[in-house]
Amino acid sequence: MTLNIFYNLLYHQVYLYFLLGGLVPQAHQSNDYQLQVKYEMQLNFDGHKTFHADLYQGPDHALFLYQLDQGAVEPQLVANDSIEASFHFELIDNKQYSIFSDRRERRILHLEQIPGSDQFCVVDEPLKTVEWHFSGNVKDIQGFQCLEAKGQFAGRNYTVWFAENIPSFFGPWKLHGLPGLILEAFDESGEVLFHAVSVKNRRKEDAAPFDPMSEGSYELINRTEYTKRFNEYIEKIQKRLMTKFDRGYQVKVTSLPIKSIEIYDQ
Amino acid sequence: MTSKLIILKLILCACATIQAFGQEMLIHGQVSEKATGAPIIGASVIIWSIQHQRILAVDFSDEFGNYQIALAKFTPFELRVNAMGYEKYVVAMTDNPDGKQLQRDVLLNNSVLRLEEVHIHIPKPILVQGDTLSFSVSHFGRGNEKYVNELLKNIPGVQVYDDGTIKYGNKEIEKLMIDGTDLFEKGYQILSLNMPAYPIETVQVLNNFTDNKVLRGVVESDKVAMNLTLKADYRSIWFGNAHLGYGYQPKYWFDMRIDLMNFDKKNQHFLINQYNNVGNRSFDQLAFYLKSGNDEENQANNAEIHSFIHSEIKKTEGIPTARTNHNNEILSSYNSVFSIRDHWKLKINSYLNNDRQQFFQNSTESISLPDLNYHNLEQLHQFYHRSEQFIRMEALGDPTEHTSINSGLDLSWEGKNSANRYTFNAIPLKENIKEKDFRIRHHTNYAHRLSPTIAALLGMDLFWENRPQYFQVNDSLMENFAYSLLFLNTEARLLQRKSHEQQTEMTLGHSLKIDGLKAVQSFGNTNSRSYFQYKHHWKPNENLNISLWSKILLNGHSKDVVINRKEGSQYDFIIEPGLKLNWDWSKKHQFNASYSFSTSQPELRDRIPWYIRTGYRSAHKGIENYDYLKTSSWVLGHQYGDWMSGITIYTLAYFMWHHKHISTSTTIHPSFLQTENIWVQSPYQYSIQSTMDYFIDCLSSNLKIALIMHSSKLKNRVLGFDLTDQLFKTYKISTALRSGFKGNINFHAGINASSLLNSSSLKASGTDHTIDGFTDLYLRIGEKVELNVLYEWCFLNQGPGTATGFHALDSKLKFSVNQKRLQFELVGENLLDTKFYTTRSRVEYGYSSISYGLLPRHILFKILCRF
Repeated sequence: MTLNIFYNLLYHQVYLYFLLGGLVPQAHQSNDYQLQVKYEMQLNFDGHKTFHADLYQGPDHALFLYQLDQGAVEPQLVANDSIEASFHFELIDNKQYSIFSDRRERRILHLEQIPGSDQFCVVDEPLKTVEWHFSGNVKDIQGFQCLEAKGQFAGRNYTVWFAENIPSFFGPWKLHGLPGLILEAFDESGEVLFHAVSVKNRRKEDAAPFDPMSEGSYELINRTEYTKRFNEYIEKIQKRLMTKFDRGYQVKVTSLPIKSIEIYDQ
Repeated sequence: MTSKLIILKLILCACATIQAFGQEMLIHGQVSEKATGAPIIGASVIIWSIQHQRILAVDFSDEFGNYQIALAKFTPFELRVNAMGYEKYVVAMTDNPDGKQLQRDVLLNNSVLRLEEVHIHIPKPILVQGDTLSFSVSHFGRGNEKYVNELLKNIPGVQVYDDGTIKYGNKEIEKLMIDGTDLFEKGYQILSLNMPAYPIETVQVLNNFTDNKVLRGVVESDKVAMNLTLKADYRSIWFGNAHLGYGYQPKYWFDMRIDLMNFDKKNQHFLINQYNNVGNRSFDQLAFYLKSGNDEENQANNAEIHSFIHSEIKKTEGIPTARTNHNNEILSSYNSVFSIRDHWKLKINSYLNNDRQQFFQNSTESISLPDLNYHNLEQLHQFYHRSEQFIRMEALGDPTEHTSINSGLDLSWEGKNSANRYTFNAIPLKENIKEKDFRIRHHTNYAHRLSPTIAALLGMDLFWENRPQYFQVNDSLMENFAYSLLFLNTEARLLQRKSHEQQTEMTLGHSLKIDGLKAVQSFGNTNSRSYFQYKHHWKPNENLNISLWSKILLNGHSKDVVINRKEGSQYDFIIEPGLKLNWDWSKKHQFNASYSFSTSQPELRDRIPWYIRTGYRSAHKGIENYDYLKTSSWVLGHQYGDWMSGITIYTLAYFMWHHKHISTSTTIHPSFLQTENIWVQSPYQYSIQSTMDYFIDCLSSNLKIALIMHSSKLKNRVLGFDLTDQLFKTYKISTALRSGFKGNINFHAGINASSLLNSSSLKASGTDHTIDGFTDLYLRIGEKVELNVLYEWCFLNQGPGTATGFHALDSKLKFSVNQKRLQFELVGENLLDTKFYTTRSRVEYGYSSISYGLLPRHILFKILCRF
């Protein structure tokens, strides 16, 4: 028997209730957001997952909140009896998370789980404007004239449709830098999709959005360090899994796709 | 050094300036609020080409309101400036007086318009309708996919493996249907690997799938199925796959298989043809899938005749059956589904099988009792011929939205002939067993959904089997059996989902079993069973799952010894309770526990009240008094860690107490064995086993250690002595190390040691020791070549002079020319040409040792292709 071990890490983040030594700026706890856009975020890595997401947009910063709209899936492994059995695990939960983007300081703060531990960190990364290419294609979405743009971000090639008449530097997730609000975005593999559900101006009297990152302070690391820790953890899991099987299962690691919205060198 | 750097920088700056002013045009300015003159931060500034009608460049105003955009060359454009809370500003720039730079300051008016909540509906390539996800092939397909598996790889979330296995998310799909028709059930891999992709219009993933659509939403299911819808203009074609294997030492070896199939929107066909003499028993697997069906709880699945004499090929223990299966097997299977109108389908599954097998076995039997000591030597060469024909015709329909019905008829014919050549203590003997079997089974199931949370099921099963069996020793007829069995079961079930946490299930049924045996005398047995079962599933929280049930039975039975001589009837009232719970105490600790009480009626085989010949030197007699077998079972399990942990420990303990059980009273002669069934009370068995996995980081390897302790206390009678307690205790320790190197070579090696202790008041206690192990190597050479070398060995020691050993070496070299279309394999089996595999066990009154004859060394060259 040959066994293909196949890992898939769906979006895996867990909200932190316990504090860990570290410093995270608290400056983003503002309520000067002028625009609120609701998105449906779909991930199709291994199984369809839908997230409810909100983009709150201020003059020079934005807060993106997202939450799985179903119960959490426990990490699990499933085997079948076919000749080439395969095993899979996924980590996902249904807590609410946030990405805070600050254009003035050109940085993004993103809450992440420290790979292989129950503890959490905030990944501090530079706000990079995506190099968008404009095709000239136009389509109408619910009365909004939308322009097509294509760009590459974090290992994925995105196609987006944005409404020029709704001024917005910020887009869903970290898809920033377009001169209008993104109403639809998807990557070429079909694994990541964003669809705007509703758009509205916020009033000053509206309650400030709850940002889970503002609840405490976390270890602050950069993206390179996070990716390094992540890859070390996955490699460790891979080895643990592939060595656990009894005789009769030949283990062959044919690929090691680690799937998340952002893909970095492994 | 520093001055050189400054000069270099100046040169570079000068070049950059020349380039900028020589080729580019710079547009810059400031964006401010018209009313106050304050700079506007973050306003978008777009250069819109009037000629090409698209965006040329974009910038955003900085904290001072400034923007700056460079263009390669001037072309008429619109300057579009927009900011949240301001009116949009657009101005056309059709000429460029300066030629190099253009300054344009922009004043924006405050906007009084507010964007009230606007809801947006966008057509999506993935359509979610309840539990069904529909993927449009036109969006996800690339157009060059030849087969379904290639197409499915483009569907996000779907994994397709080399053998055609499909997973969605972390679950393997239950079935792959075409336009809602399921032809293959578990064998869908043939379809995914061979069906062309171009007729597919949409791929539908059915989450929370239940086989019966009427039960959807009532019964909780976490299964996934997949449905492929076809394009309207789909045309049927024939296609398939094949593998051909050939070897010629020391005889001709063949391993061949050809699959052919054809689908259209209304009818589907699938054919399997194969032949092999290398020990593969693929027929058994195919027959199992086709005969067993999907309903695992169906009681009719367990209704079968239990013969006194088994004509089948002898079974082996401890090694794969393929090592001892000297076969010559032909198999042909035809499967079709025909659509009849919109809501009905006719499904046909069938096969023909013809198999000639040989089996070699040497056994010794050592008896050491207070008044009896002897050794028997027996050699067996078995020639076995089997042929079987099976057909199932099934009508499936869903006449209304809330109802479904399926009704089927199974017919099977079997012919078996076993010619056994024995040498018993140097005396040659011939044993012939001839058997014919005819089975007919009818089932009808009806389901009706009474409300969104309540469903009712009605089922009926009728089963009849007839099996004549002839048993000869040295051409003298020993027994002439005629078994018959009639089984009827009717059942009604009511399923209700009360809430997300609670589900109930009530079952009311009646079964009737009439079985009989005609031999020298006739024996008939009638069992009726009326039952009511209530099951409650309760999930008080995410970490706790409890199931409680109770079954109330009214059993009745009567028997006829010699036709028309009735011996009265007996009725009994029985309650069978049960409890099961799963508790996730924490992320690392999980517990499960269960208790159940069960009763069963003795089989006909255990009740025949006279001695029946069961072999050339054995006879058996059934119990005198009718009663029930009664057993209580307790199970307790604990898991520490999970698959991803560095250390994982699984521990399981169970205890079975047989309140009432059937044992034997044995009369032993050196050349003959007579057993008689007797009722005994309170035998028991228990077991504790624990398995640990520990990953050693520095070695990149996993260490597995397993500890097993098993104990059973039996009660039996030998040679007219009083009822004797036989205590068996087994201790086993296993260790294995498996590497997880990232490179092209890996190993797996292990060793097992076990001791069996047997004590009884009749003979002195003794202990047997066994040690066995294995060493496997896996080597990959590039992406196309793989080499596996597998070596296993065994050493048994049961005292001075009784040590035996076994070792075997296998290998496989695989070369993939084209992963999808063509592969070559060179397979070597039993390369050390080991002749026998020996097992030895301590039995109640002595020792038994069996040596199995192995298939000789052979090498096969295989070609695997698809067409």
